[in-house]
Amino acid sequence: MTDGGRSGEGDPAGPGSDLTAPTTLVRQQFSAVTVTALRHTVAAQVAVAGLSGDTADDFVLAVHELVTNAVRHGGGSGDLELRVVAESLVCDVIDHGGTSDGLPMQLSQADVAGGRGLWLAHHLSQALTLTRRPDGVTASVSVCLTDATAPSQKPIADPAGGSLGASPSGDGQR
Amino acid sequence: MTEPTWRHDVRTADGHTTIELTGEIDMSGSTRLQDLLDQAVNAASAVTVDVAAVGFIDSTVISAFVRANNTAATRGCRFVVVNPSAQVRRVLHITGVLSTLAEDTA
Repeated sequence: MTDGGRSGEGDPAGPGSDLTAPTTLVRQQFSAVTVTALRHTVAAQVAVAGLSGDTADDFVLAVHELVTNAVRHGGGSGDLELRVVAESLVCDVIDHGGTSDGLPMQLSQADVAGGRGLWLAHHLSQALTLTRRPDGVTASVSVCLTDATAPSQKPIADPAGGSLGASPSGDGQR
Repeated sequence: MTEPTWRHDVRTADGHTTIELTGEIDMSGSTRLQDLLDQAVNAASAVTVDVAAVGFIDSTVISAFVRANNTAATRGCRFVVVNPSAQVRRVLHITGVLSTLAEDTA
């Protein structure tokens, strides 16, 4: 992971230059036993980044499906990096699964058990990019942070009684 | 190594098994879920899976539901998923299995 433009972390490029510098929120290796914990970590950071409601849930599930795909079909482990780039939240899921002939993106019939993970990731994210490398696949999803407040979806029902925007002790859940 | 993030409660009466699931279910629990569902659809004449208290499912859970539904169909067992939360319902809908697995309730 050396691409992604100028990643001047630790580079004293001068005051104000960090407005567009990527900010890494999560960088973590994963395997089957850490999938659930990693999802919780990602969910917490997605909330910190300012997403909530369906937009946040969808992005977290999309990331989770890419992680699951890497564990099940991409060699059993991988690396995840979640970062803010400009006004988007971007998550790269990098597996080391060798050949990657089958990346099923079409929807399975309703009576076929498998093959829905990438479909979900695709339909839950605003952008999904799959890049084949010689030694695996890099899957990236992104969501625009500035669209998140657009009133395109109905207000979030809050069964517990209105804690939206009013939880000073918010521990990642919004 | 990983603690279960979900639990289940099974009740059977007159050949009708009701399975109540609670928690978050993902790939780390999908094998246990599959075993649970398979056992039910192979023994009962009707299986209802109540997911009212399920806050998260992923594609591996949908696979388990679909497999169980297929097994049930070959046995003449009725299999249905009821009370999905908004999130669960959305996932079932996007993946095209809502009408196959869940009762059509508005």
